[in-house]
Amino acid sequence: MSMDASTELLRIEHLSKTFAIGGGMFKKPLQLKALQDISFSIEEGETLGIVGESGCGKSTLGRCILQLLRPDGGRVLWMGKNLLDLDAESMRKKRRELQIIFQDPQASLNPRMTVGDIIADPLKTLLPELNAAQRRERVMKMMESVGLQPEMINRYPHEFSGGQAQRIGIARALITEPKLIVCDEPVSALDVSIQAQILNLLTELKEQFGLTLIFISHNLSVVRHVSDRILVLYLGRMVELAPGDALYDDPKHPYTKALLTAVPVADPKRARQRNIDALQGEIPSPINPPSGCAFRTRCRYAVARCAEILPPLENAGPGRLVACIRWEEIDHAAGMESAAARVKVLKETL
Amino acid sequence: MALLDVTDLSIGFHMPGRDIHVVNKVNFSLDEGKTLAIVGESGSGKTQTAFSLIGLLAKNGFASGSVTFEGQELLGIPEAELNKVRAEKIAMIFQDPMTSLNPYLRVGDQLVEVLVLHKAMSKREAQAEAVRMLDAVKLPDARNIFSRFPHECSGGMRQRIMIAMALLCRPKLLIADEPTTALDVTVQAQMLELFKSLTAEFGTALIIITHDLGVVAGLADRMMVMYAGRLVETGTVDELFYDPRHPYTLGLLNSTPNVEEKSERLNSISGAPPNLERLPRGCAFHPRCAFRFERCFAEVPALLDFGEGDRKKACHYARSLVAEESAA
Repeated sequence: MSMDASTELLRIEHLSKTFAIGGGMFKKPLQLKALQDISFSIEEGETLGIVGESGCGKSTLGRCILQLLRPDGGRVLWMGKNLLDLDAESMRKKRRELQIIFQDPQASLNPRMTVGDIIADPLKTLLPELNAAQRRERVMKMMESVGLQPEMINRYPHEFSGGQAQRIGIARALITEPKLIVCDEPVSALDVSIQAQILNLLTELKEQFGLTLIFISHNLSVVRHVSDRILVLYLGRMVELAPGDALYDDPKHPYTKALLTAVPVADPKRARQRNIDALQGEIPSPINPPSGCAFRTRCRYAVARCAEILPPLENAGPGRLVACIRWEEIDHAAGMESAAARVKVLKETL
Repeated sequence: MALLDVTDLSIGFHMPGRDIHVVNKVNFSLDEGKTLAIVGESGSGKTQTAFSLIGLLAKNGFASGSVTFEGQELLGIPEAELNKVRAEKIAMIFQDPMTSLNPYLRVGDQLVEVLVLHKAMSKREAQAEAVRMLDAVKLPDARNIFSRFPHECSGGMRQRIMIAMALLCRPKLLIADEPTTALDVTVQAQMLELFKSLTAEFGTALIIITHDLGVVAGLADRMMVMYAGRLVETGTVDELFYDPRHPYTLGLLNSTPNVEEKSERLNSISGAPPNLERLPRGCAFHPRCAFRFERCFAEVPALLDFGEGDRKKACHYARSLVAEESAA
C-alpha cells in the first residue's frame, strides 16, 4: 500500500473505561466512569492534542490506547487490528510500535540504572535479536539525536537536570523505532526555557523519524503549538474535536470557549482588555456526573433540555465534531453579535 | 515612603563543610496597594527571597542586608516580634493549599482561631468576621464550608479558604508563592480575578511569585526577573514585556507559547540554569546568551539604572534587544 497523506494509523471506536472505587465486603464499590464512548482516528504523521482539566480522562485515554490500562468496551484499531483482541505475547510485540513519554522525567527513570541501560532496556525485550554491542551503538546514536552527549552513557539519572532527564525519557521511547508516541504532559514539570527546548526537540524528532504523536496536556498554549488537531474532553466524554487553528480561533462548544478565555495571555495590554468571563464552579465529581450534558452545571448557555438529552457529536464543519445541542444557535448569535459590533465600529468611523 | 524596602538582601544556606549562596544583593521596594511579580525559573532564588522577608528560611538559612516594612527592620528581629508582623501585617499563601491547611481541624475552627488569637475577638465576633471573609473570596454557602474538613473541599475551594485566612487580619502585604500553579486553568482564571478584586477592595499590596508570564501580564504592576540568585531586570510589566533589555527576559518571553497564535518554532534559550555552587565567571547568564561579548566573560554586571524611567538591568549589552532581534 502506498504511504499517501491519509493513511489511518489508529482508530478508536466507542472506547469506555470505568474504575471501581472503594467498596468492601458489604459495600458496593462506586463506579467512576473515566471514559465514555470515545471515537476518533489518527492519521500517520499527525499530532493529535488532547486537552481538558484534571479528571477529564485524558491520561486514562492515553493509557487505554497503549493497553497499559484495559478498556471495558470499544475497540482500539492499530493499523486495522484490534489491540484488545491480542494476547499478552502479541501485544508485547506490538509495543515496539507504540511508546509513551511521561510527565515527571526524574521519577520515570530507574535511579539504579545507568542512562545507557535505561535507554537500552526496551530493546532487550522488544528486539532480543540485537547483541550488546549493537544495542550500545543504537543507544549512543539515539542519545545524539535527542541532544545528549553520548559520553554520558554510563552516568546515573540523578546527575541530569529535569530537561536532560526528559531527553533520556524521549530516547527510551524512540529507541525501538515506534510509529506512535503518547506524550503525557511531557513538559509540565519543566521550567519555561527548558520546556521550549523539549517542544522544539519533539517537533524535530517527529519530522526526522516520521512519528505520529498523541500530545496530552492541560496547557492549552503548548498544545496549540504542537498539534494538528485537538480533542477536548470533559468528564470522560468528547466535547469537541477540530483542526488546531479552527478550534482556537473559532471554538464551537461552550466549554472550549470558556477554557480558551481562561488561558492567561502573556501580553499585558491584551490581558487588560480581555474581559475574562471566568467559568463558575469546578468540575463535578465523575462518580456522580450531572444528567444529560455533563457540562450544563457550569454552562452559561444551558437550558432545561440540556439536563435531559445526552448531546450527540454533530458535524460542525470540515473535520469538526461538537457535542452540544445548542452549538448552532450559539454560533449564530455570536456571529450576529460580532457583525453588529463591526457595523457599530464602521458607523463610528464614518 | 515605600511600604516595603529591601536593600542588599543576600541569602545562603549552611551545608556540611560549605555555604551555598542562593540570593545575591537584591534590592527592591513596593508601594502600598501595588502588585509586584517576581519571575524566574527553579533555583533563581525567587521563593527564598520572599520567604526571607517574613523569616521563613529553613533552619540552616541565613540572610543579610535589610528588609524594612513600614519603617521597621524585619531581618534579625526576635521571633515574637516577627510573629506579630506575620499575624497582622504580612500574610503568605503557598502553592499547595492542601498541605497548608490543618487536616485535623474544621475549616471554620482554623479561621476563627486566627482572629481569636491575633485580634482578641470573641468566638462569636470571629465567626461573623470569618463568614464575611469567605463571602469576600466568593465561596458560596460559607456556613456549610465552616463545618467541613479540608479534604472535603475541592482544590479551588481550599485555595480560596487559604486566601480568606490570609486576609482575615487585613494585612498590608500579601505574598503569594505560585498560588495558581496547582490549579486547573478555569479555576486559575477565577483566582486571578479574585486577587485583582481583593487587592483593589482591601488596598493590599501583593507580591506574586511565579514562572508563568501569562499570570504576570494580567495581574502585576511591576515585575522583577531573577536568574541564578541575582536580580537581572526590573521595571513595569509593560516595559519588560514590550521592550525587554536583559537577554534572559527576552528569552523567557520568546520561550512562552502563545495561545492566540501558532508559531512554527519557539525561540528557546539554549542550555540550562547553572549550578549555584559553580556559577560561571562574569555574568552568570553568559553561557546561554546570544548577545554576549568579551566583557560578559569577565565582569559581573551590576543592576543599574539606564536612564529610561524607573527601570534597571544587569547587563553589559547597551542596545535595545528588540531592535537587534528584528534586524537579525
